[in-house]
Amino acid sequence: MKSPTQRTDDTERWLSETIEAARRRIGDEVARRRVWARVEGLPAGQDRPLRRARAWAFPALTGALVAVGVVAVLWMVPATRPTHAPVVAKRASSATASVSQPRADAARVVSPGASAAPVRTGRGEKARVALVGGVGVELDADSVLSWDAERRPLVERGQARFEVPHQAPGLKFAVSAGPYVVTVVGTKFHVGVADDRVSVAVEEGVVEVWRGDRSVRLVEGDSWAGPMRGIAPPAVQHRSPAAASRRVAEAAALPESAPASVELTEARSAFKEGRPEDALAMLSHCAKGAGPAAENAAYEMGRVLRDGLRRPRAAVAAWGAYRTRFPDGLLRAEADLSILETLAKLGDKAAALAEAEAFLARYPNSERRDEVAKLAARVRGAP
Amino acid sequence: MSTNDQEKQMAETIASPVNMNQQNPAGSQRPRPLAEDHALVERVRKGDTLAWRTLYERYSQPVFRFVSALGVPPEEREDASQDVFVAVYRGLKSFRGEAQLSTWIYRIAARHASHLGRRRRMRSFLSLLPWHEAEPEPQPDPAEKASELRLLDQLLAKLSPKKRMVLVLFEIEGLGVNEIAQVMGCPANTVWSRLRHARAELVRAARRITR
Repeated sequence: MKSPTQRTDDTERWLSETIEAARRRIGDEVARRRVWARVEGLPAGQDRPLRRARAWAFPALTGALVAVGVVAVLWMVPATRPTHAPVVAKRASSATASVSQPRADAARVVSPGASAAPVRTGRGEKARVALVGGVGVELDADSVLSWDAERRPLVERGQARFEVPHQAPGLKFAVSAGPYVVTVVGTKFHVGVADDRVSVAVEEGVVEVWRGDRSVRLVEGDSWAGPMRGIAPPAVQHRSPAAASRRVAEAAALPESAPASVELTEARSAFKEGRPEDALAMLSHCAKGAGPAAENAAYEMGRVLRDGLRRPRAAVAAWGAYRTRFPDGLLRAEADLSILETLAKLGDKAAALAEAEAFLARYPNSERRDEVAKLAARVRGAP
Repeated sequence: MSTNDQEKQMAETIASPVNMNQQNPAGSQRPRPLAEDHALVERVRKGDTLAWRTLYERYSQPVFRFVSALGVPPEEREDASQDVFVAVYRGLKSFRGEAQLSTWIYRIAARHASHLGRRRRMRSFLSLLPWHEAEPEPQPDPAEKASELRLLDQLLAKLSPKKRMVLVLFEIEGLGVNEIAQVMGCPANTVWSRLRHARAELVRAARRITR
């Protein structure tokens, strides 16, 4: 039996060792990379990264109460606010000021606020507009930015450069220009309206330009121009790109140009509803695109193959394809672990061990190191 | 001997269960030359994305570890860390460089973790109300297999928030007492006092478990 002194020593030793382990606790590297993906755009003016998970309840309730209060006050005190001239607001962040611009002193930072009055720039003047959701717009000289009937920004004339933070899955940001609707998940692009033509140029990411239910997809470096003439203004369009793509998806015939994020959402729903073949077809299509939705789709194909269609070998191949295409992808560690686990379950001892060793070499400080080492030991010990 | 010195001596001679080593193996955040921090901050202010990435890579592990040790549950850690870095970025323009950058970031993280803690306590209080749906128990972090760390978290949870913060900053994050005083906005003597009580309570709690 241990004496009290021995017991104390054991306790102190255990505490000392555990605190030492806590000092080495580095957090899940996948989670840290996810956070980086959300905050990396801050210097570029994306000062409102994705909001998320469980934090919505309190702000939503508070926001709703405030909104009710504001509406009540405005209702009781009508017509006391200016409804036209744009509200000059403070800069949303220092990031807005960091964007290079030839005549920074002439730039205005404006917010559409409640009035949604058009923002106009004269000759030699530029404006920066901060929109809800962290979207930044640089309006070039002699341009007009207003809002259409669906409250989308509308480039009426001139040139505008948009910087859109990455949107949550299933959401996208849209800009109107003449008869066209430009939809994005998260990117930087220019929209120009001049001489009866609309032009779009993509700096980063992927953009889709919609007209009715037809679209063209533009990737980084692409530019496109289309005619304006004879087309009704976007404000009277009744079918949004999202609605169009949903309708087509329901008919199980997704067009080449369906928005990737919508397609991804549809695929997930199909998988949940027990239609793995449909899910796989949609994911496969989505993965052929570019951007975050394509990356997610490439990874999720493996899950559908393994868990939905019971084809573990094909799943391993799909994750392998993901790794080849996105060697530093956000889901790389997840893909590595999925391959490792699947190979271990298949009893492919040599391949599983090779994967485990590669994982341990690639992520020497991973908190999953112990987990992988145990798995490797189990594989080694298996007959 | 002054009261301050007595406190320090007492804290140093107390039968501490923990390693007093001030080196922090994972903590690349240990005091850096102020000039280096200033140069980094200046580059981030100018919109240098590479500098921002450097700052994130330098401090993301400590921030994740710190919020974890302060009891932010696994499912909230990612969002908490994100909020901290958004606050860091927004606050950089007003960062005067009077404190170490790491101290300043810890202060932001500490404030945010305290805010989340208050919100969790409010939720758990509300969950006691008969018409309110009970909050689900936080699940352990799947990436964190070490049961010892979970046990340590449980022991730390028995301390008051202020004592826990002092202990975590001193023992796990490896900050000095003066830095902790800056982070928490209290006198150094108070830090020593809280540290002494926190250690004693932690040992008592650990002994109860190992008994």
